[in-house]
This record gives sequence, structure tokens and C-alpha cells, in this order.
Amino acid sequence: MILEQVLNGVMLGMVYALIAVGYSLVFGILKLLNMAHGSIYAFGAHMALFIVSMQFGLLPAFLFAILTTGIISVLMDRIILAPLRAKNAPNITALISVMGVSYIIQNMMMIIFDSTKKTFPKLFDFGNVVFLGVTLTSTQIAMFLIALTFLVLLTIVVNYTKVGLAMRASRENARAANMMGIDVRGIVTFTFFISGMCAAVAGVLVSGYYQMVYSTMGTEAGLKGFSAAVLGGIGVLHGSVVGGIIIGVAEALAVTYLGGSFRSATAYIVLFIVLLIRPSGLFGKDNIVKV
Amino acid sequence: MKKVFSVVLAMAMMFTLMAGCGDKKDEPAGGETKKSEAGETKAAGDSKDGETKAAGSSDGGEITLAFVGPQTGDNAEYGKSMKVAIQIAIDEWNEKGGVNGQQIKLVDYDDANTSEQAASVAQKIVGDDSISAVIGHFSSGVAMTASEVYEESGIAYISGSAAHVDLTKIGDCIYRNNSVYATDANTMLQIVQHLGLKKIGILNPNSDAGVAVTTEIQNMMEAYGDKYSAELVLAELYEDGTVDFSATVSKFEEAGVDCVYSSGAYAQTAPFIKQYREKNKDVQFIMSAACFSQEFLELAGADAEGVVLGTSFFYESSDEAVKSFTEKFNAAYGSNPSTFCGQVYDATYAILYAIEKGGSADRADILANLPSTDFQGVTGKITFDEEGNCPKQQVLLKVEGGKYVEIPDVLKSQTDYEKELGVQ
Repeated sequence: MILEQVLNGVMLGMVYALIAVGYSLVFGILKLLNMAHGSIYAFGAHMALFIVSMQFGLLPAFLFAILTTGIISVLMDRIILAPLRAKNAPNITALISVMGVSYIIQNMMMIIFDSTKKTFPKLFDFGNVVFLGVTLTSTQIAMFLIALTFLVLLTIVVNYTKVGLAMRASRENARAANMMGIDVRGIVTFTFFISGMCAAVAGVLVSGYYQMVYSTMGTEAGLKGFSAAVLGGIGVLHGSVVGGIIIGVAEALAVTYLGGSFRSATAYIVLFIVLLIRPSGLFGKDNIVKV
Repeated sequence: MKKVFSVVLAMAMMFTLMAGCGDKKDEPAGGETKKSEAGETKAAGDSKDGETKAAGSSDGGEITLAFVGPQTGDNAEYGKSMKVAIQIAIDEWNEKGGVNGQQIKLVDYDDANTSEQAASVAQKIVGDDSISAVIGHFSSGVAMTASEVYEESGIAYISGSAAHVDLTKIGDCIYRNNSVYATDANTMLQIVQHLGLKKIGILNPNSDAGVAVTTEIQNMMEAYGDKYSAELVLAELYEDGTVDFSATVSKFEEAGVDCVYSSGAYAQTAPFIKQYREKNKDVQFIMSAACFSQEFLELAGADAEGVVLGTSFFYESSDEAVKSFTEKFNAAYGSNPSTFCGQVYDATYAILYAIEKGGSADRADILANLPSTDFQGVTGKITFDEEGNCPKQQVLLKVEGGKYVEIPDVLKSQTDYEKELGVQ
């Protein structure tokens, strides 16, 4: 029973982790909480649904979702955030702007796709697997493996490629990176594109997992994903994964031992406890601002 | 550049503002929203000489009934469809010459399913002497706020959708043509026994309604004791908005239930059923009338197969009155009527029969004649008990081949069932 519930929690945690990495990427470079990420995630799911409903199949839907969601994320940066940065606007201005963007995207989806819950095709179905005496569904296993592969790929890109090096350099010191000939503006654009892509991948995977899509799906998931990112240490990719899994497992165990009404409360209590012990999250570097 | 930015920001702010109050657009104008409708649904408050054609005056005058329901906001669909159902009932009476020789007119108001708006609309209605009786309000909480006003000023009000037990306890003017929680609970117990199931699991929303239904079931099972064959193994609640039910499913599996009941909305029960079906193909799902909708079938897809539920209205019933109502409703609204639509349709008939019987559309005369209501409506036999509730007998539906199919002669009224069981 415990093992089964822990595994249920891990699967749910991967859902949160997928969303959390999007927050982490942008925060790592711009120190900006991209509160529109939840809506962008829902946007990705809707784009995939749109192509699926036109009978083009899942793979084209996946690619189309990744592309359009990456673009909308870049557009948000170019139209709203870049001009703010150019004027050295305080961070709070950018924060309120992305919240605005979040509502714009969500309401547009409500207008175009209406607010009902819509079915999304199941991604995989090859029966159930019994693992250590626990029955896991194929959707759960596929979700877990794809998410894991994607997160590993992302970590490789950030840590072992040239563009990843440029991303990390821009994170350390944007001005110095610029002087070294790194196109920081281009890197920021690239980061937003990748973060939008992550949102789309998460959106499609989660929609396939639960087999439904709706316009407000980003609100709750975005909040949990954000918590996972903070818990793991925002800006640290593997931290998001661990954070997601901790929150997922906490929820599953809360449902098991306390009942369904304690689900979210328990997740946040765990978050508080971790943050009390490690204020910058599990893997976060202590933020020492030198004067 | 600065200009461009400020324009963009201003737009963003406007959008968020709209987002915030999108569903309250028409707030102050309770009676103003139906301008688009024909003149007959003009705000009652606007009718010039309300006094001269006071309710139930001379023949030749009109009788006015009021409908209040959400026409904007999240639940607008319910309000709009219920209004269509009431209009069908009124048209049927008008075609055969009205009631006591007077034609009937419907005025409608928007309460956006909020208590604040409902209270002010109710004040407006009771202040308009031309209105004889009121039907509508969607949610229990909203209906109860408005009911206080109706009760105080002595105008008859019938709800076709509120399920809260306390609604009709507000007073003698308040009636209901909808199942109460106890009926839902009893229906579920009857279904379990009919299917020969032994171990019941319950998953209800952690809301007033969800908790109340669970409590009713527990109380009934306790009262029936050994006479009832199945046992309640696990009663669970879920948070509104829950999407992932995997932990709950594992818990039910661990407890070894052979059926799960939920009175929750289809948007939550459909994903639950899907996630459960992935792990267990055999468990029986028993739902409430909340899952009696096309959207439920679409969202649950193939996993909806075999789901059973009880409802007091079924649009494909062989009953002639139901057939005719469904046909007219489809022509007017483009979809099959819901249970609530059937119930407000019958509520309209109840009021008109009361007017006919008393020979007057006077508010007090309607109230005097409503208790003796007795006719066969589209939602079953319409009578009111001393509290003002219409005892509902539900029909059993099963999803087969992506459609609801009626399984006749299974469900009984609660009193009949308890008599048969040998309790009370």
C-alpha cells in the first residue's frame, strides 16, 4: 500500500517537475518569476488539442504545440519583458506584466475553445505492468519515462553544450558575458523558447495522462509546479525534479492517511518545513548579495 | 517606445480587469439583461401600469410569472435552458386559451447565480404587484437567500434545481420540485441492492452537498441495520478541482470495494472513472443525476460504459408528455432537456393548476391551492408534502453503447422501498 502510494506520488511528481523546470529556466537567467508559465502550459495543451481535433494525429500535434508555444513565450518576452528590461524597470513591474499576460492567454483560450473540459487522446496503452507487487498503468510508466528523458536532455543542453555554457554565463553575469561576445539578448530569447517548449511538452504529456484539456488547467498545476521549483531550489534543474517528486509523494500520502481534503494543505506544509530548514530550497545556492 | 509600452500595459490591465468581472458584467441591472428577447419578456418593473392590472384582476388581463436564473456567468447554460423549458409550458397553456381565460406572460431576471444579485432581484419581484409567482434560481445557496424575501412578502416560489434540505424549511411559500439529498442517497442504496453488490465505496466532493449526501447514506444504512445487504467500506472526500485521483483509486482498491458511488459533478467524476478503469475493469460505478449529461459521456468516453445512475427525468422515456416536451425543447434549444429543465417545466404547470383551481392569480390564492397539487408531470407525479418538497421517484439509467438506456421498474420511492425492506 505504502509503496503503491509512493509510486503514485512519484508519477504525479513528474507532472509537477515538468512544469517546474520552465519556471527554473527563466528564473535562472532573468531572476524573474514567470507567472504566465501555467497559462502557457495550458496554451500548449490547447494547441495540441487543436491539431488532434483536425485529425492530424498526435505527433504533428506535439510538434505544432512545441513550436507555437515556444513562439508565444518568445513573443511575450519580446513585446512585454524586453522593453521593460531596456528601461531598467523594477522586477515587480515585470512580475505584474506576466500575470497580466497569464490572464490574457487564459481568457483567449476560454473565448476560442470555451471553458468546458475536453477529451484528449490517451498517449499510450499497452496494458498494466506489475512492478514489485504494485500495479502501474502503461500511461503512468510512459509518462514517467518520457518526462525523465526530456528532463535529462534538458540538463545536458544546459550543462554540456555551448549554448548551455552561454546560458550559464549570462546567468552568472550578463554584462561580463556580453563583453565576452555572448549575444545575451539572443540567449534570453532562446531561454524563453526552451521554457515555452517545456510548457508544451508538459501540457501534452499531462493532457494525455489525464486525457483532458481545459482552459484553467494551468492555474492549479502552475502553482504546484512553482512550489516544486522553489522547494528544489529555483534555478536548479534537477532540484525541480526532486521538488516535484517530494510534493507529489506528499500529496499521495496525504490522500492515503489523512483523506482527500488534506491534499493541497499537506503539500504546502511540506514546502514550508523544507524552506524553514533550507531557505533557498534543497539544491539552491545561498543568495549572498555583496554590497 | 514609451507610448507603445504604456499602450500594451494598459491593454494588459484592461484584459485582467475583464477577466476579473467577466461574469458579473450585468450586475446592477438584474432586469435589464433580456433586452434582446422579444417584448414579452420586458422587465416587469418597466411595465407602465402595473397597478391597474394587478394580479388576478379582471379577465382579459395577463397573468405574469417570473423566472430568475443565471443568464450570465459560469452557470448561464442552466439559466438559459430552464427559461426555455418554462416558456414551453406557458406556450402550451396559452395555446389552449390560457388559464381562467387569461393569457400567461413570463418575465425573466438574471441573478448570475450569486446571492447578492438574487436578493436584489427578489426585492424587485415582490415589489411588482403584477407578478403572481416565481420559479427558478439555480444553486441552493442563492435560492435560499432569495427565498427569505419571497417568504416575507408571501409570494409562492418553486425551485427546480436546489437540493439543500433547508430550502423548503424557510417557510410555507417555498416549494421545490427537485430531489433532496436523501432521495439521492436512497436511490444509490436501492441500486446497490438491485445489482447485488456488497462493498460500497463513496467519493463525494468536500462541499456542503457532498458531505450531506454521505451523511444521509450513513444514517440510512445505520437505520436499516441488518436488513440492508451491503456494507459501506470507505467514504472519501475530494477537493474541488482535483485532477489526479491515483492515490484515491489505490485506496479504494486496497479497501476491496466492488462499487463506487459519487454525487460529484461530471467534470470531476469522469476523470476519476477513467483513472479507476485503468487499474480495474470490473468495479461498478454508481453516479447521481449530475452525470446525466452529454458532456459526461464525451469526457468519460468508453469508460462510461456500464455506469448507472438515478434521475427523476429521462428525455427518452416512452411517456407521451415527455416525448412532446423533449421534441419542443429540442426545436427551441437544440439539445435534449436536462433534469432541471423538466423540473421547472412541471413547476410551471403546478403554479398554473393552482391558479386554475382557485380561479384567481392572487398571490395568496396560489399559496392556498399549491399544497393540493396533484398531477402527472414529465418528472413523475407532482405532489407536495407538508414541507413543500415533491417526493421524487427516480428512474435507473445505464450507459450502453455510449447512450443512456432506461432500466424500468427498479427504483421505488423512498417510502415504498423502506416499507418493502421492513423498516419503519
